[in-house]
Amino acid sequence: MAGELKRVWYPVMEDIIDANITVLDIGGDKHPHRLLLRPEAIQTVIDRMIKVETKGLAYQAAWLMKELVKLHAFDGANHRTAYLVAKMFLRRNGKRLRIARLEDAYLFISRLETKTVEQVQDWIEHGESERSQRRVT
Amino acid sequence: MEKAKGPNAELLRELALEDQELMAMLATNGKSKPDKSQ
Repeated sequence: MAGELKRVWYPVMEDIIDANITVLDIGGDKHPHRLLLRPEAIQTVIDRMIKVETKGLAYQAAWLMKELVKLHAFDGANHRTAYLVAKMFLRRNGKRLRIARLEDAYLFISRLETKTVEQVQDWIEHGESERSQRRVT
Repeated sequence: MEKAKGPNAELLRELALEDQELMAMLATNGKSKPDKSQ
């Protein structure tokens, strides 16, 4: 029906913990999955993310990536976990996040701390620069 | 190695495997280089 609002899908705490376990497993990391904080700290990030729903999915995905990296909830693979959770958030909400240039994506994600939410949003939507072709379709 | 068990575990794995080379680069601080042959 025209004008009907689509309900946004949100990850739960277990998804974020599972994302960390998955990236460690896929990467063949030697150190085991270990949560450094109380699980409630992750839930707080999700709850705050819901409050910026009016800013749109790309903004929310960007905000989530930044906040998960800042939270540093895990012993390892926090950047990879944040990226994977943001990608799942977009996918579950009907968007796809693709990489055209691996080196650009690597540099951007590894320096997430230095980026603003708006810069991350722009990277998700359009790519960091003309050379980087990451986009949501 | 511990395995993800939640309802989205399969999707998470699928999405991570789509970006396996990126994951490897992030895991090795860029030392793992993408396979140019693909």
